[in-house]
Amino acid sequence: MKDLARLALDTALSRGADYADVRLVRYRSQNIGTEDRRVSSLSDTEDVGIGVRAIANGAWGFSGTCDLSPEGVQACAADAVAIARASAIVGQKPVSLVPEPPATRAFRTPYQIDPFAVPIEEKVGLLLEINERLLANRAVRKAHGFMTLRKADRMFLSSEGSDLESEVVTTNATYSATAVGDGDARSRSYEPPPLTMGYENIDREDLLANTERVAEEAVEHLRAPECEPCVTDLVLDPVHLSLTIHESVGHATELDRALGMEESLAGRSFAVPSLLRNLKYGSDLVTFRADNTLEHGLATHGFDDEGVAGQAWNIVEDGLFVGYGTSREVAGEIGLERSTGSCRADHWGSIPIVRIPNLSLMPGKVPCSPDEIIADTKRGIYIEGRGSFSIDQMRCNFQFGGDAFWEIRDGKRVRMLKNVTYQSMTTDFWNSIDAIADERFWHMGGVLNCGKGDPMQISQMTHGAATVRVRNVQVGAAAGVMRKSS
Amino acid sequence: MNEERARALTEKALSFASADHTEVSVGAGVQTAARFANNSIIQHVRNRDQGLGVTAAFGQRVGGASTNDLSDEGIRACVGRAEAAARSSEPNTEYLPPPGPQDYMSIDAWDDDVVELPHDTRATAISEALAPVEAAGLRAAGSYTTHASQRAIANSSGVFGYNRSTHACYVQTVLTENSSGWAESVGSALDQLDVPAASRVALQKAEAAKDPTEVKPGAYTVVFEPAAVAGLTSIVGWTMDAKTADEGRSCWTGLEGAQVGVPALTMRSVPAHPILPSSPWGEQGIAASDTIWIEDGVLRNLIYSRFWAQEKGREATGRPANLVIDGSDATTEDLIAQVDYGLLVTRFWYIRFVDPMKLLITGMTRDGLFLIEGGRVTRGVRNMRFNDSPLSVIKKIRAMGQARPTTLHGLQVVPPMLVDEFHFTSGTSF
Repeated sequence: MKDLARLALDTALSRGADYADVRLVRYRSQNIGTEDRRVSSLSDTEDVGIGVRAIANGAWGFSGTCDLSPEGVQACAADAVAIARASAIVGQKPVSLVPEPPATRAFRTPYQIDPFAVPIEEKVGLLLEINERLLANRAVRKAHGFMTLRKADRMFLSSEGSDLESEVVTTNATYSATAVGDGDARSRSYEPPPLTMGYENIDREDLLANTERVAEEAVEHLRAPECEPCVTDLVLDPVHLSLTIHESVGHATELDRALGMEESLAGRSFAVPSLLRNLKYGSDLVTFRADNTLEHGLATHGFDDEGVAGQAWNIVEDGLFVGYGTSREVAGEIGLERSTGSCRADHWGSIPIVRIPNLSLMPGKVPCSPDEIIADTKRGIYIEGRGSFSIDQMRCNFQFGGDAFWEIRDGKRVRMLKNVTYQSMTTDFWNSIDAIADERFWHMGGVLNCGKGDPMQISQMTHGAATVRVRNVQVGAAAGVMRKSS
Repeated sequence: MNEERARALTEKALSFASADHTEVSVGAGVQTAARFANNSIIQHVRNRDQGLGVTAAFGQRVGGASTNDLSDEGIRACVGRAEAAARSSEPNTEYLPPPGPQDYMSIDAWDDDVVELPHDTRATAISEALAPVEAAGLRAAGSYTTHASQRAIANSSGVFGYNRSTHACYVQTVLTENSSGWAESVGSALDQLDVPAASRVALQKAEAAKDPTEVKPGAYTVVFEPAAVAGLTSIVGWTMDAKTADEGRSCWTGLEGAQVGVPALTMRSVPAHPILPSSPWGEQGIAASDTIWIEDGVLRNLIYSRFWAQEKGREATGRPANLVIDGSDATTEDLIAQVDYGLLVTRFWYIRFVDPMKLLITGMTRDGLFLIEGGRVTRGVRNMRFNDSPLSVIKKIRAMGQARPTTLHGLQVVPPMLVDEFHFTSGTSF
């Protein structure tokens, strides 16, 4: 296979590319779904191909093919260079890459159990047993279970001399219970973190141990009163925060987006380069750290799809906006001498683009537990898990829901609520954080299916956090509309 | 992948199969996309791929596998993985054996010009589209994407079908210092695309939206352009599943046969639509046919899978492959002229569910939100967040205009709509 990759590289250079890189990637995935007592889906996918990126006449070209014959690979590489020359017809300034020292190395996700060596019977059996336990609560009318298992074996060569290999394994299992009654249906989910880890991440005992609670809370959710619109304090758990961080910090600090390069689909960012070190993104308690070396992080692949080694750096430090995720092409626009290594493609047939790194809210520095935060809150709402999410194309106005909600009164969780959404503006929200639990309560959540790019690409990244309190947030405007109308 | 090769590949896969029932799908495709931003092409890609998928069933134990290795060894391995998965699994109690031979409609959606579009022709088209933008001192972003695919299905009950299609899409956003405008042009053939027109519309909208002011959140009379309508109707199409409704887990529970929209509203799927055709087959290779979902405002059909149709004594409908709503001869300007005070929405962004039981959704306006006063667009306004329900919207349609194709939210041909009392709940800073 390396010979084919070298053939592609040599072909691109012989056709006049000033720079070229090649990714040859083999993917394997299994996805299993269960609904009540049946297996609703079970698929096993294999896919292999090669993608060639080239710079010629100062512009990018990219071509990917599944034809791994020497002729197919050569045609693909030649196509990449031809596309680059065509791109140059519509160019304002030549592509320029910041340096990356060429390297030869291999990276492998540290794992103990190959998820593809585990019998299907065991995986299916676990999901069905979970559903059976959820359905043991007679008020639960629907149970769903999901398992996602992925492996990517990647080879990367560049015309600068990099020769890199990686094997990345990702695993995840989640489930939900839905209670139905009185013309309504409400759910509760259990979402252990997806991680780059072997099947040991599918913790059977932990998954089964939470079924009774999840079923009970689905029923309680169904019977809960509606949330009334108000301005109140929110206490947010780490699983919930993974999505808030993703949407309002992660995407906002992708440098290509801030430079206008993602406008045709997902938009731009309010966090433009002139605001670096000039914008109070959050309160003094708030530090967001990007870390593509984080053990078992979803974006921890050893090196990105430009061959840049995984690194760690701050995006927001003690509330100040200080950094971006970059590629080699855009890093120089803000004076960086090296890319932060956040350029990834979801497939051999996709061109690498800037993606959110593993991005986490650092834990509080003062000893503080989630229970203590709640005990310190006179009135508010505690939110666990993920639900509705929506944000504008500049990453300013957002609205989030959650998976479960409890009213806080005089320092205690007094009852569940339903239909809680909150709406805020990004920097208003993060500047209203006045408490963060400490590192004992820091938890890695993540996103397995982040969409960006045109054509669309799907990527994965980890978001760690500990429970926070946010003051004075507008809650309930969404459901309030429906109650006024009906 | 011509029909002969597709048939040979499916027959090969079936020859390796030992399951009670086997279904095979095979396909090949080429996608080429030139993406531009800040008046430059920033990404220009071509991707060629192929694939074969197998679903194997031993009784109701079902497993699936796929590969893009179409050698004999690759196909045999794929069949083997599907069968091993099926044998190892537990029953899917809703699995039905695949159907026998079908009579597929002939859908001609292939244009050689799409397939053979040279890279520099695509780039030149973008360059020409950008010329008026650059002349105005503005910048633009967008993409010019073409896709050609050939696919076939077969099964152990004697089904074989082959179909090929092409698709072309051009989108452009023009940016001023404080506004943006967007337009698209789509079709299955290159001569259905009008790139210069899309560029003109995007430029006109961006300039008309300059220096936007704020309007207060509240309930507004709104004219939705087709791309905005598609954002709302896609939610209708995705959610109207009969089984979920019958289980009491959906806003559609109890609504089949009821008046859900204005009498002028008829929503259907038309697989052989001349501009945005879809596949000639649906679930498990059942032949696709025209389907009426809503007729004269009455919900005629929810989505019935083969299993649920059997349970309920209904015809299987398959999922809506495209959505078509006929409007009238009225233009968008004709609709605007009927509004004393309201808003014109170009499109929506980031639509997500808030409460599926009420079909309450949220999203943002984008790339052209305008104030209408006295029957005229008077100025641009800052973008706003809405929270409302398409079930509520379709009851409040006052008028519809000429339907246009859009692929922003799936394959749809929908008209602009004038709707009363649509709820915006907050604004943003641009």
